[in-house]
Amino acid sequence: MKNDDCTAPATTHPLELFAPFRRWPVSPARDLVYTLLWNSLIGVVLALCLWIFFGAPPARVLAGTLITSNIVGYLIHGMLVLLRRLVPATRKGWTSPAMRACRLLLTLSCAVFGLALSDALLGGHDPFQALVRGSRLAQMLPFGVAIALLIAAILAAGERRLAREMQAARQQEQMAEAARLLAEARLRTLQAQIEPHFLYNTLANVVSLIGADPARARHMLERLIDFLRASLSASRAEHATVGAELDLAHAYLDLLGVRMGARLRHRIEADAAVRALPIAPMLLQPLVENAIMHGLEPQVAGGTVVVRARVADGVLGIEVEDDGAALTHAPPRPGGGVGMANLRERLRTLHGPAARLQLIENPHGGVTARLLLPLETP
Amino acid sequence: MTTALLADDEPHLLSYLEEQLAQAWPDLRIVGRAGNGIEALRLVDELAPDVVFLDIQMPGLNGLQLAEQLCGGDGAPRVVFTTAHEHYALQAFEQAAFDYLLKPIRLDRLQRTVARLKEALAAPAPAADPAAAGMLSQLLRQLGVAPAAAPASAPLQWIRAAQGQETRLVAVDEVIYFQSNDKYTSVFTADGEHLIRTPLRQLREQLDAQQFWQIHRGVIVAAKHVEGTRTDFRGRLLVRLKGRAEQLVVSRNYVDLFRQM
Repeated sequence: MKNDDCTAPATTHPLELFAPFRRWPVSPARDLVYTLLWNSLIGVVLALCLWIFFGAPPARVLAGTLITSNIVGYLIHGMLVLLRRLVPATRKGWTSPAMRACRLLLTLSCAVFGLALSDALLGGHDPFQALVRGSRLAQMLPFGVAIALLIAAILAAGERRLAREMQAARQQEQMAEAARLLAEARLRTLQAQIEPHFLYNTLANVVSLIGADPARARHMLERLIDFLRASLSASRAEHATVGAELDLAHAYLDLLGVRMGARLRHRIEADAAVRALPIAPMLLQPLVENAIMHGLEPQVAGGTVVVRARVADGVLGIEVEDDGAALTHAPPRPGGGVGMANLRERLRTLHGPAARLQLIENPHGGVTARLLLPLETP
Repeated sequence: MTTALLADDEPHLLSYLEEQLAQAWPDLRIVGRAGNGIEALRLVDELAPDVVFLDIQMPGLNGLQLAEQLCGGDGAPRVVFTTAHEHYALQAFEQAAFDYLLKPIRLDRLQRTVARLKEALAAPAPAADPAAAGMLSQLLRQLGVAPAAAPASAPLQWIRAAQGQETRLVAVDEVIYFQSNDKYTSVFTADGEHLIRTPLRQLREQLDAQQFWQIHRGVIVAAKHVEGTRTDFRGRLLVRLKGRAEQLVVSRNYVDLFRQM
């Protein structure tokens, strides 16, 4: 159903120029009534013009202008209905330049023929006689051109309005999609980070340090609080800064640094200007977790995680580099790829093709995950 | 005197366990400490301890894999797992190992384990339990950990593609289609095109045939990206792709693939 709406010919009735007339659903009967109203409106306006500029008594010309505008209007109406039936119902086909030109010419012929017809009806001439006689045609042609241009302009405006509405609807859909993915990412991150396994292991470390090294136990508990606070607030925030996301990653790496001891070294490289940039929350954290889980945890010797953020050529680049296990050697984990797939999907809905996620194999072992984001204009 | 080996990749947890054991079992002699599974296995062989305390998640070999290797043979040590794992697996742990301890380890819980261990060690050594090995390998599968010897024919997961100076890693899941291209193979993903040197023929053997369909001598397409097919004015069958403009020709030999669609 949704698909049909997108491909249906985007056409509007000229009367839909006025917002109240957009209320009724599109149907052939409605369009017929609309055309009558539209024609009569033009007839009245025309009569008023004749009265104002040429002093013609309105009561006398009104009948003439009404008949003329209705004949011309219904001819054009019929022609458009016919055309729509003949041309394949794709939006592209209907709004292509060739189609527009064709429509313009047809409208012009209808207008001229309609003018001749009403002229004949009102004056008692033979309508075809009028068309072949150059002088009458020359008189009608400018009117015809004016009518054709008017109709073309109004139809084009209507199509533009429809296209805009469709675009807005699509954008809304995209925004809803982005919100859904964010909610999912939040849930996942919360589950992953405040997962019992992580929490218990961290707390077990704190307990083990209380007697032996109280200062370090306190430091670890403080970092855990930092981490919980940062992930809870990141999971609620719409917008974060690169700095806040780096702080979250830092707290996470600090905690794991205490737990893994000498097996984990980490570094965060970002200057103050980059830290102030806005970024969608929860884009960085899955990459850091992957570096630990797939890169360093399987390594007996451990390794180093470096998180880098910088701006180059108008692109915000964030890299998470580890010197641990190569991807192909990592044992497959159930659900392991879900985080990455979700991240890619979020990037697509947030930034479209402007955002990229690249995985690079480091020459000396390990993997670099690189996130390239367009600089958001605040 | 009873001897024990402790294995945990988190050093503070290792020394804390040692501290607690010193309280709960002052007579126990701790003969070795290991920070990973491989080291633990080596030390068990070398020192032949009576008891091993194993963390589940360790690099090299995890605790379950290690226990699997230990539980055969005479004089195998009693295995006690120490874990922060959720309780769903605990019953199984209990059946496959002598005991398990939940982290953070509580002293009173450890004392119960120690009492049981002392009792068991005083009794004659049990015969090796073949059921335990089966239980462990089943557990390993449940936890999604590959067995020690991974099958060589596992489907391809990552593709290496040279991009300038770098080697990009492309997840096979992301690939929309492969197209043979002279000496190279083009890999198309939503992010763009990558060139790799692996010929298509070789790739096909490494890909999961359920997920990747060959539709032409030179084209393999990911089934999940196929939107449908259409026939063009020349009677050729074309594959339409989700969210992409290009359409791929299905050669005559592969038309049968789409007969049911």
